[in-house]
This record gives sequence, structure tokens and C-alpha cells, in this order.
Amino acid sequence: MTQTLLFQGLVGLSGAMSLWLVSAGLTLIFGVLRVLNFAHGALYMLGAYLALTVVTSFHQDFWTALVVAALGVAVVGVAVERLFLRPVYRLPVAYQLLLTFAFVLIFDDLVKIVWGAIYQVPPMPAGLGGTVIVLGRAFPVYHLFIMVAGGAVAVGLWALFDLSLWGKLVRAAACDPEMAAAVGINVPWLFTEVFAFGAALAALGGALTVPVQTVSPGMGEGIIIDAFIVVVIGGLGNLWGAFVGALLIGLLHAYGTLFVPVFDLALAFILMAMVLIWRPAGLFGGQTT
Amino acid sequence: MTPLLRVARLRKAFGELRAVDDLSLELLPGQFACLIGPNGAGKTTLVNLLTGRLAPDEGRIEFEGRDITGLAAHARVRLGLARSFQINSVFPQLTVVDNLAIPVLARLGRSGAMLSRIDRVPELEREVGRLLAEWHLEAERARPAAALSHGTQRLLEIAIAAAARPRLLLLDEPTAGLSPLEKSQVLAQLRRVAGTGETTFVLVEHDMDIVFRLADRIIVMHRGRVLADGTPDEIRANPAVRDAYLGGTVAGPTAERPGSAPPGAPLLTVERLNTFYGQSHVIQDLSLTVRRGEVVALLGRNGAGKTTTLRSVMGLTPPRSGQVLLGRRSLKGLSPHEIAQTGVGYVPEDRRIFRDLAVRDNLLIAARAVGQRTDGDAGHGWDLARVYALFPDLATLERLRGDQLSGGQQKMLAIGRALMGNPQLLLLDEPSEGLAPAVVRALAGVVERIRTEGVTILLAEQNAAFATLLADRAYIIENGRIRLEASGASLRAHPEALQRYIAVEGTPEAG
Repeated sequence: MTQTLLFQGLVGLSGAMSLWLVSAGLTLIFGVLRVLNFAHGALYMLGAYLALTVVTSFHQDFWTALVVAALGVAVVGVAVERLFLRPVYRLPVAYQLLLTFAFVLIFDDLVKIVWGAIYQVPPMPAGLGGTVIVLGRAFPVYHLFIMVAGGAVAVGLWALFDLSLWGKLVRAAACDPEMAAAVGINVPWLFTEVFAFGAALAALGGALTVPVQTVSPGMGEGIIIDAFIVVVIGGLGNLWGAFVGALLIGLLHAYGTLFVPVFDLALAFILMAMVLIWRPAGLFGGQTT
Repeated sequence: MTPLLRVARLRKAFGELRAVDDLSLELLPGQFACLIGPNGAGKTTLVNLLTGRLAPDEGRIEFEGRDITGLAAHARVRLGLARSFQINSVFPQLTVVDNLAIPVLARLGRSGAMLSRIDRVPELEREVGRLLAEWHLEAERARPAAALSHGTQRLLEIAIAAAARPRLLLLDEPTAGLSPLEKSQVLAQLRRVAGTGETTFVLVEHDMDIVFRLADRIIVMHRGRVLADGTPDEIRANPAVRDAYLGGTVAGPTAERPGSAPPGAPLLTVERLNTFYGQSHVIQDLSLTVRRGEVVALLGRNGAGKTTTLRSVMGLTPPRSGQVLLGRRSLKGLSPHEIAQTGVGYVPEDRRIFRDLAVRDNLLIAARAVGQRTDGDAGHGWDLARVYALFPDLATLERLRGDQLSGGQQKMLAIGRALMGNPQLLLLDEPSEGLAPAVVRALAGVVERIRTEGVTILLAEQNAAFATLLADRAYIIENGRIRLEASGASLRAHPEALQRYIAVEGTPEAG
């Protein structure tokens, strides 16, 4: 029994890490730009499709696909932020939600036009297929890889925002954009960079799931709901909150399917409701990145 | 008499900084006590410890004989230990009566009565009437709070805090931002109420004149400890206080300014500037010139348009028409970050430190942000070492986060941050506001030094004494227009010339 629990915990952790990649970008964009980006799931989907195309149509390896997906979606992010988001910053939040929701629909249909509505069968990258024996059971190597990748991104983000000068510029702009401009920081550009960076994280999350998940239009909608729950639980705009939130939701899903499979979908919402009653600003709410 | 409040060996440190250090004191009911001390002395930290917003590292707090050290802030409020905040707690659209009715209803536990008219609830009407009388607000009873003068608004805020009839009310700089006249009016009222009611007031205040005139007892804090505690006369005679607070040892600038600097070419030229906030025409056809190497003061009351003028120059509130030139280059249409990179440094009145960044990072990012200078001028080479030489305190605090600094330390950091951008022109908005006299004097020395190191300064001030001490020239601004231009020397010789514009006698200004 203990082994089953531990094993299921591992499954939960790998789920948590792909959720973390998406949630990190989402909470980062909210923390700095103060925009709730509904289209974040669509960017995740776009990353998955780009990676798939690089592998199946251009016959490149998986690593190239990851890079192309992240960079490609970052470029899309730059365009979306500069052309569409910028005019709505000053408007009430409802306009931002409507605009980013419109992008969900637009990207879904674009994907159908370009790639077709068929469900794509993803290949497994060399060296990451197969299983290893963990706790007496077969565990997919690829899930271990995702866990490592998620951890690496967490360490990378910590270094970026706590050590690098760019990260400090971003934190200053998140804290007081007007004063940041008055000391000479090009805040509009910095916002574009942060949005593109968040989009690249989403794309990376999408591209990483390609080998183990069916790529289909609408795949973003599923993850964005979970990502929003994660971000709300952790505290809007707080990266470490998102990390903890992703772990909680990932484990909850893993154990939920084990113990109360019929109720699994509701569990995340129940957890969110409980956290919000206890701490209305989320676990780490009120603190900045 | 049993003390109302007893504090024993209280300690609170933020990293290296001992904000409150082994502090003990007792407070008797009915005393009108003022807590004073230089910026960074730990006054606000002490208030936060007393109200429960911060937990002490060590020590004990007793309130009416009961140990409340571990009690949460809201539980302390219920016992009758409350504070009023500097931030506005009035509802601007509601009338004075309605503003007072809300806390009274809350205290009477009659929130349900919110739905009925005030005059249908006799005890509410009686209590609100009593407050109006007590705080001399009857004449204003039907006016919306937004229409009151600054001073009266502040009184209303205090009255709202007092409406809950706390046993002890801590007021942290309740008169910040008021003119001297309004200050003494507000505090005289407070003093009168304190003599009658069941509420004991403790006041954190900077204005020494007023404190010495009104307080029964003055507690002087310095470096987290009580330096002196006694009647105004005792405090006045205390040599330690003179040194630490009244500033005998702090070197100020020489009384006589070292001859006016040779007037250089115009560095900042503002011509027929017009700036609006929505429909309101805040700056009207304003023109001024600042020459290279000068310190120029922009003097005026609250709301005269000083801040807006600086914000217009900085591009933060872009002017609707007019010309702003730095040297020969037009700043018109440039965004704030481009203006900063062109060589303008901005120190806002409210400091606006990046609060979750360390002191050092606040400085470094400002240097980095203007890394690519657009004017080809290498600037004056400000770096961390030079800023720390100017403000030695910042060097010792460099690892603290911006929000762990006191108000005065934040002000130094804001100036240091602006200098890190190597400005040719420094815009200083109300640098002396809210600072203790000794710190103001030290600040005057700092401004003087910055000027001798080659930075031109435009200074917005209400504090005429401070500004004329430093300025080569001054412009008097009133209702968004320049009324008068005068040399610093003539203003120092005839300070009474300023009375008409700066002293705030006569009509109270609109909120």
C-alpha cells in the first residue's frame, strides 16, 4: 500500500511539473503586466503543434523542436502584446479577459485551418522512451524527464529573478511601473519581453507534453483551467505560490484518481475554495514575485 | 494610578537593523504624550508593535494590566487600543455626519440600523452629535468630506478613529502634509479633546514647535531606544536630545551661501507649459529657466502645481502644450524613460522605493536603466561608492529591502537612486517633507554637496526656510502660474515677501 501511495505520488509530481510550466508563465504575466491571460492555454497548444511539426514534417530531433516551439511562440507573444494587449492595459479588467478569450477562439480555429482537426499521434524522442523500475513498478522514463525539466525551470526562474539584473528590472517595473520609467527603464519593452517570456514558458510546457499526450485543438482549454486554479491557490502574481500550487494540484489529481475517481474533477475546485476561505489572497498572496 | 500601557524591554530587529532596542516605557491615562525622534529612530516600528501589526522579538506589552504581547491586532482594537492611519480613511462622497455614523454604528453593534435614517436611531444621533460638538465639526456636518479643507479632513479622520471610543489612540503623524497653520489648528483641537474625553492620545509628530507647545510629556526615541522622557521643559534642557535630535552636531550648509554660482547656459527651459488632469487646467502658461550649476526652488502651497510641473518635465504627466528643453534638446513627446536617459533624475515626494528590492539593487537598476545614454554625455560618474559616501547610512543598510527602511532612509535612497542615473538635472519634489529638523539640516548639506559635484537642481518646496537656504533663485507658484521670481539672496534678506504666497492664513484650500 505504501508503495502504491509513493508511486502515485511520483505520477502526481510529473503531472505537477507540466502544470507548473504553464502556471509560471501565467502568474508571471499577471504579476508584472496585471493582465489575466486567458490565451495562455492557446499558447501552450501552439507550442505543442509547433514542436510536433518540427519533428514530423521537418524531421528534426526533439530538442530542436523544444527550442523552435519556445522561440516561435515567443514571437507570437511579442505580436499579441504589442498590437493588441497594449491598448487595453488602461481599460477595466473585463476588456482584457474578452480580448484574451478572443485569442483562445482565434488560435483554436487557426490551428484547425493549418493542421486540421485530426488528432495527431506524437512520436517519442530517442532515449526518453521505455520505462524504469521504480518501487517495483514500471515508471515511464519520460515522466522522470518532465520532473527534471520542471525542477530545472524552477531553479532557472529563481536565478533569473533573484540574481540577474534583468530580473530585478522586471521586479522594479512590477512594483511601480511609473517610477521604473522615471529611473530610465523602458517599461513598455520590458512588458513585451515578460509577455514573450511567459508565452515561451507555456509553449515549452506544451511541447514537452507532445510525446505523451494527443495533440488536438482545444487541448489548451483543459490545462488553462487547472493553471488558473494553481495560480489562484498560490496567490496571483507569485511564482513560488504557483510552484506550490502546481505541486498541490498535481498530487491531488494523482491521489484523486486513485481514491475517488468519480469525484476527481471537483477536487481541485474544492481545494481552491478551501484555500480562498482560509487565505483570500492565496497561499503566498500579497507578496510579489 | 495604574498605567494604561506598560512596555517592558521590547526588541524588534530587521536583519542587522535594531529598529526597537530594549525599550521600556509606561503611559498614564489622560496624558497627552508625543513620541518624537529623528527619522529611522524606530517610532513607526514601535507603533506597529503596540498595535500588533508586528510581533516583537522579545519583551512584553501590557495594556490596562493585561499582557497583550501575543494578541492579534484586531483583538487589541477590541480591548480599546487603536491607531489612526496616515492613509485616508474618510469616504469622500459621504457627508461629515455619515462618515461619523459608520464607526458609531459599528461600535454600537447596530450595523442593521444602516438601513434606517440617522435621526430614527436616537443613540446614534446622540453619539454623532456629541462627536460633532467635541471636534467642532457642527458647521461642516452636511458637507461631503471631499469638500472640506485639508486640515478639517484630517480632523474628521481623527474623529472617526476616536468614534470607536478607544482607551488609547495612537496617531502616526496625523498632520503630515498640512501647512504649519493647519497643523497647529488640528493639534490644538486634539489637545482640547484629549483633556476631556476618556481617550488617551499618543502622537508621533515631527513639528517641534507644536510638540513643545502642546504635549504634557515628550518621549524622545533615538536608534530604537528611549533617549529622554519628560515634560517639554525637561526635554528642552536635555543635552543628549540637543545633540541627537535638534541637531547640534550635524553639519549644515553655511548660513551664507558661497556666492551665487557663475550663471551657466540654460539647462532646463520651460516655455508656456500647460498641463491638464482630465478637465482641470493645473499648469497655466508656466515658464521657467534653470541654468547649469544652479539650485532653483519652486515654492508654493499644497496644490499650487509644483508636483505637476516636475511631473510634466519628467514626461509622467505630459503637457498639453508648451516647450520643455534640456540644453537645446526638446523633451516634448519623449517618454519618461527616454527623459531619464537624457539626463534628468526624479525624486518623487512619496519616495516610491522599489519595496521588494534590496537597497543596493534599487541603486544598481537605476544605473543600469540609463546604461545606454543617448546624449553622448558621460555624466558625472555616480556609482555605488559615491552614493554611499554621500549617504553612509545606505551602505550599512544595503542588504535590507526597500520596505524595511524608515521614511527618512527611503528619502536618501530615492535621492541616491536618482543620482545613479548620472543626471545633469535633478528634480527634487518636497525633499524636506516629513523629515525631522536635524535630518532636514543634514539634507540641506547633501543638496549643497550634490550641487558642488556638478548636478543642477530644481527643487519643489512648501518649506520656504529650507528652500531659500539653498536656492540661487526661486519661483513662486500659485494656482498653476508663476507669480514671482526672486533671487535667493533677496528672499533670505526679505523672507516676509514670501508670506503672502506660502503662509497659509486666510481661506482654507480646497481638498
